[in-house]
Amino acid sequence: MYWVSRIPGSMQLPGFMALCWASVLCMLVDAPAGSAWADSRGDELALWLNERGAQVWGPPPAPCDDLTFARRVYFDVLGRSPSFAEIDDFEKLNSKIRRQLLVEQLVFGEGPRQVQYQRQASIQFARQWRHVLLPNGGAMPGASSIEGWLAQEFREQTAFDEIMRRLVTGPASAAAATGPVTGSAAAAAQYYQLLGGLPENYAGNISRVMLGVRIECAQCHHHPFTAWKLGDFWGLAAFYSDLSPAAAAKPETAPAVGAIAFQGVSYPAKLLWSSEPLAGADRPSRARLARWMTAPENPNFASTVVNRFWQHLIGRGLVPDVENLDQATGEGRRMLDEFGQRFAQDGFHVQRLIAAICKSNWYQAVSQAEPLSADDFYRPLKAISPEQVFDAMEQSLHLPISSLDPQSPRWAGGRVQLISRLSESSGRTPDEYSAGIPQALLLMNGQMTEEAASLERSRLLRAVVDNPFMETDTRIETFYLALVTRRPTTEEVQGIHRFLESKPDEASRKAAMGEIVWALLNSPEFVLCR
Amino acid sequence: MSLVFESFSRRDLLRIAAGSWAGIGVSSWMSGLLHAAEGKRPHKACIMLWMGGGPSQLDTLDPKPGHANGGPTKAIKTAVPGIEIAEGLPKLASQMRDVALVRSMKTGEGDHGRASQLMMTGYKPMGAASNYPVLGSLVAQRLHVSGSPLPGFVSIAPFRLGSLGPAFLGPKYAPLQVSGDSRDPNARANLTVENLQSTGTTAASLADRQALLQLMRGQVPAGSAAGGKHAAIYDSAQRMIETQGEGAFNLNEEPDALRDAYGRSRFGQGCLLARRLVERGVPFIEVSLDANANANWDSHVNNFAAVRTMCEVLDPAWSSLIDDLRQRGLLESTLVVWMGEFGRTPKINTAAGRDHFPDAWSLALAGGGVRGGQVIGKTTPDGMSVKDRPVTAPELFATMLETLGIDSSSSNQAGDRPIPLVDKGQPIQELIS
Repeated sequence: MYWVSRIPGSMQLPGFMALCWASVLCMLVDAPAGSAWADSRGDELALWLNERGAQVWGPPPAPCDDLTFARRVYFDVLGRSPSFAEIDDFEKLNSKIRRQLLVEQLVFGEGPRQVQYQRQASIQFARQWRHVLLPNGGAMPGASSIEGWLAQEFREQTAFDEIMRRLVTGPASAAAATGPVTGSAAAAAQYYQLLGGLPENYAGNISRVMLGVRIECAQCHHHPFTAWKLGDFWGLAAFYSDLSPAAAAKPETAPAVGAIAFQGVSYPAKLLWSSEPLAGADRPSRARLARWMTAPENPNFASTVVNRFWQHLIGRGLVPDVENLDQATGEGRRMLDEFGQRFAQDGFHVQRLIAAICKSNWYQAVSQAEPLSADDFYRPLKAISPEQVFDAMEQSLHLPISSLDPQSPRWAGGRVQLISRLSESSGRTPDEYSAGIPQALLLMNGQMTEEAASLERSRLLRAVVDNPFMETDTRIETFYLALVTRRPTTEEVQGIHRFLESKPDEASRKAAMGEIVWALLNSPEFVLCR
Repeated sequence: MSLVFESFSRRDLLRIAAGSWAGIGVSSWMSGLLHAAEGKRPHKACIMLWMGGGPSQLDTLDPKPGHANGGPTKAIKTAVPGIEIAEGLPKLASQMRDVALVRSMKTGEGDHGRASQLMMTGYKPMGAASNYPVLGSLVAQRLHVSGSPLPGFVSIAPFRLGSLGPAFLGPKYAPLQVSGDSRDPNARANLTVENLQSTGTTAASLADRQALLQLMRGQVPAGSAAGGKHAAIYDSAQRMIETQGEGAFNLNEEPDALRDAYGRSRFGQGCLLARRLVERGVPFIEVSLDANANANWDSHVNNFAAVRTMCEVLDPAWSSLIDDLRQRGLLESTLVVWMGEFGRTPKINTAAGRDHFPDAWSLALAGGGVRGGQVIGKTTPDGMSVKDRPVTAPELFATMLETLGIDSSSSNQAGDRPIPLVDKGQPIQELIS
């Protein structure tokens, strides 16, 4: 029953239809279970994306090369760069199907490194969603518990609508809570606190994150550009009125459950796009809100989720303005809604969604500068996250990882220092590189870089420079593969030879190898995934 | 591209650096100094002396000797007949001809976080929905000269609340934070930018690094926004390393007597550094003073001893800064603001302390064309309320922006939303005359 398989945004929706839609959903006893697809590895969905996308954008850009593809998938799925051994394994695969095989190895954890890959992938996607769910990219104390909970859910392959339903349901109010709070309830309670512990913050945030609409402006005034009204914003906040500080401090004077007061006006709990308050709102209304919000028929939920995954993997949203879906129209929005419906029909299965996007032509397109028309498809350079910068350094520089090793930056403070400095200025979207001078100075002159470029202390340098059987060209190639997952161009090899020949003696040529590592670490390609 | 890696010298390094700066032959601080020498008007700047914690107005700028609320604090005469301030600020008293006091701040926010947000952004906190840029970011966005090797907003000895920053203006206008090497407040006058020094890097290897980096930029798609930003930030950072921040941080270049006059505290040397940054074209510098030895401004306990200790650091630094700027012809163009997020309760509590008080408190402005030697507003004899001319945060913001030559009725764009610089407030005409 997908009679509302496509609703192009609230503004085009006649009022009575919106009302019917909201009412029907409220009456739903249970969301329809996802019909099992035969598309167990996302191949059919990838083909659909190729064809439907070509109708919207025209033929895809030229595909990227194999090593670029490998670098992308390792960063996007596992959160780090590939090791030598992994590059070698990949290049040994049959060239016709190696990309599909790599996606399946990393996304579904197939192959000998299954346990490690599944763990890393679930952490990587938890980080992505922590970034989406929390302001400032979630660079705040306490955010790690949300990330840990999400990682657990991803590892257990919980359907995505179920994960979000648990967050929308929110924590139990102090009055209703019985016994210790654990699992999803604890995560929801933590989430509520991280957003400032106010019903209005929660309402504004979940509508932005889960429905791709910004109704916060209607917190204080009717929205000037869209039709959001004070009653829409506060009606959503009213679902959480029992959690407000006022309700906690003075339960006897707090407004009735299902209503919230703002500037002397009491607003009843109300679903978005509906003009009537929720009937019987004194009953457990948050469970109903959660079900309504994440229902397959909700025109914005599934679309917003696939748009976020698309944004994470490709660098910009399929509809680029991911938080103003109600203002998106045209073919792109239609494709997004159809895509969302397919994801919903497949039971909101995250791994299959990721595999399908990675296998599509769009993911594999060569990266480009921004085109003239905002509606054209292009794959931008993607700025890797602070955590990924650390993990990439750890991987490519062969840093010690044991917690028993006092030299290990992961445990001895280097990781914390790097991530907190980079998080001060990380971009809001994956295609936004927003580091400032302090971040550049840290990567140029910080302790980790200094050690990476030091002949005495760098493991990578020693492994390469102390190997008597390696030719200079092989050494250069090794540095490039380790740090930027590609081989140097002829021009780069010649340039580096000239640089080495400018050194007067063997000892200084050896030391100059450290400068090559320094430059690769600070090159745009190290932090901007091509 | 053909780069020749042969016999790099200091001269080559400068050539490469100049090349990467496309025609900027004379760096901006040089031009700033030249302008001063040629008698041209130097650019506008603001130094914010931020007193995190909230200083007691009764024991600094609005003493009430003779009233029980005044406590033991005495008033002293200043260079301007009729204006008296508290005894802990004798050096400032001698600068009063250039200082204007506002004794009637009425701001309504009594929580550190909320009040700091109000006094740093000019907007009342409105939950997570609204996030406004701090004054430093607003000023940097309007006054920073593009291509200048130093950023538009420098924060010295920063006291920052995590969420306060450039907001929608973007990280380009975030402060460059300058801190001391040590966390010990008594020994942290050695102000540096972190990671500005690379141990073991000679001028020659800096040039090597820049040339190698240039070589490795070739595979980034031409014209990509992120690639361009990366190159720009790295060029700026490289330039800061080469020039060690245009030499701004070499406080050793200053005469010992002057350094002593500012005070060898972190705040004192921070004020001196602020003057050096103004000379090099930085339009907004924030210097924080929130704690000294065992005292801080948040004087819930033993207020009088705390304020005395804080003033020992504050008075020489603040007064030397005004004096030094005047002697260099920079005071007319440089606004010096002294304030915290609120004042303290006139009524002394049982721990001989004073608590948070946003209803009637004081701040001071000097330079930047502000008419000094006057007092705006008045409190009642007990200090409990404003008797005359209450001033709001937006009015203060409008005043500060106008003195810097920024139209306080203009707006910024946050996406498709126009955000006024000031949340409905008119400048205080008596100050900007």
